[in-house]
Amino acid sequence: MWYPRRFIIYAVILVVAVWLSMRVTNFELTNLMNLSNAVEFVINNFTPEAHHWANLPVYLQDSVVTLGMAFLGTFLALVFVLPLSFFAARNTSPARWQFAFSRSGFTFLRAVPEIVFGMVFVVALGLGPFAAVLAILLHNIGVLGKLISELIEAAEDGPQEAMKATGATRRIAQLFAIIPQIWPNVLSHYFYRFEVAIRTSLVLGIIGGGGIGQRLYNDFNSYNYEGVAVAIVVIMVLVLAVDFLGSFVRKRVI
Amino acid sequence: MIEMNKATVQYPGTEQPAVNELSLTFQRGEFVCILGRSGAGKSTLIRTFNALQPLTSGTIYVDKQSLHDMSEEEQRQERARMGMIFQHFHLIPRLSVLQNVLTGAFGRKKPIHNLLGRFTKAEKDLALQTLEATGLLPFKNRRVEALSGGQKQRVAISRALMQQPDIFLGDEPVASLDPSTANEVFQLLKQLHEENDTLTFINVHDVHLAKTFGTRIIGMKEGHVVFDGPPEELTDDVYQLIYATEQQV
Repeated sequence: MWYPRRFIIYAVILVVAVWLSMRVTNFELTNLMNLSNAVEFVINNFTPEAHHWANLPVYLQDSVVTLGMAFLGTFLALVFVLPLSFFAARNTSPARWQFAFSRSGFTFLRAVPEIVFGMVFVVALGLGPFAAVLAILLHNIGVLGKLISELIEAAEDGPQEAMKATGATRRIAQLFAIIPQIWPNVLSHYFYRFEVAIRTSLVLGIIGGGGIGQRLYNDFNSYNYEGVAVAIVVIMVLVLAVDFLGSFVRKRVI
Repeated sequence: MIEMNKATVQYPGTEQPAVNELSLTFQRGEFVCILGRSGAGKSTLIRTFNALQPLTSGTIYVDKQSLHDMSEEEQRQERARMGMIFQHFHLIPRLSVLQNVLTGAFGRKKPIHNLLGRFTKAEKDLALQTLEATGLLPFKNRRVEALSGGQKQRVAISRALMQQPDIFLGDEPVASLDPSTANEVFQLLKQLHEENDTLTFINVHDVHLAKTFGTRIIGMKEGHVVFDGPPEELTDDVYQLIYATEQQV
């Protein structure tokens, strides 16, 4: 046989898991018959006309706020994480306890979703983008911390040894040997998180974080579906622009 | 210049020391080629000279001072005057040839100046001089990835020269180069050795290169020195002794 017998057992387990998941989520294929309703709803309500587009400057203004939130949150996270990651990487951590401390700190920050941080900060600091920036910042310290410390662990140690051999201090040797090696990957992780943060800031808008997310949510609640459509178009352009910028910067660096 | 006294290195979890109670003395001006099979302890030995590899027991005196009893900071300062090159070059990727060479000055400078990339006129001139010496001046602004193996090793040599070393360590510097490039690199090393009057150690697999360029040959086997003498005395019998496997002996 070209596959081990235990694969049959795995297949059975997967089928059971799919069936159970369908049960708990009320997933019924027959409901898809009603999909035409959804299409109809979108066509009838989500087609903005000229007077809806007249509001575009307001949406653009909000999208600038969203862009600012996403950029500030992720960029500050990167600034904090770049030095901290060296403590959280097995090969560069000065002491075992510092490794354990920073790693578990990252894990904690990563485990708390932005929306939970967001709700706490909206209550504690008031409504608005500031709360959203903090939420994005904290969660991304956790995410980028894990990603970058793993990049550091995977870096080749040859250049580190060579830098040590020049008589450079430990810290300088690690910095110069590792950062140039991991830099393109750091950038691609960063731009991916930036892009994710734009989408996250939309969700944070729902809990009062401001930006185009809040506008979209308000439009939705006041049955202004054409406004929602305009917001969605603006968001799509925003995400595409960040993606484009990311690949442009990466191409320049490599 | 370097005096070893029963220097021993044993890696944890191994039965036999990689370097076994070696007591050797080396003087300035010697060009020492170390021969031996893979795993004979050549790399470990060469790394004990700049304390990249700590000793398990014994001592190594560098200019009468016990290297392995120094503080980390003192060891760092000793290392700054020992240039080292490697089989796989270990250059810093994505930086230019000149930038790589300038890192050779790191050991003498304050960390903050290294971080900010502040180099004096004298240091920049020295970097250009070392590139001149290795024939890489036209490539100074190239990224190191764009170079051939032999050119990369010459960048590494320039970086080591930037340290203005009086001890030069080469850990199989020609093992990944083709024979004619290997020969060129050895010629360059020998020339720089003579110009700067250094004590040079080179690990090498090619006996011919060792006999051509070395002023002293060390043959290692299983952590012991089985031959130590001038190249003329390296006969076929000795060669057999160094490279023979357990079974053949």
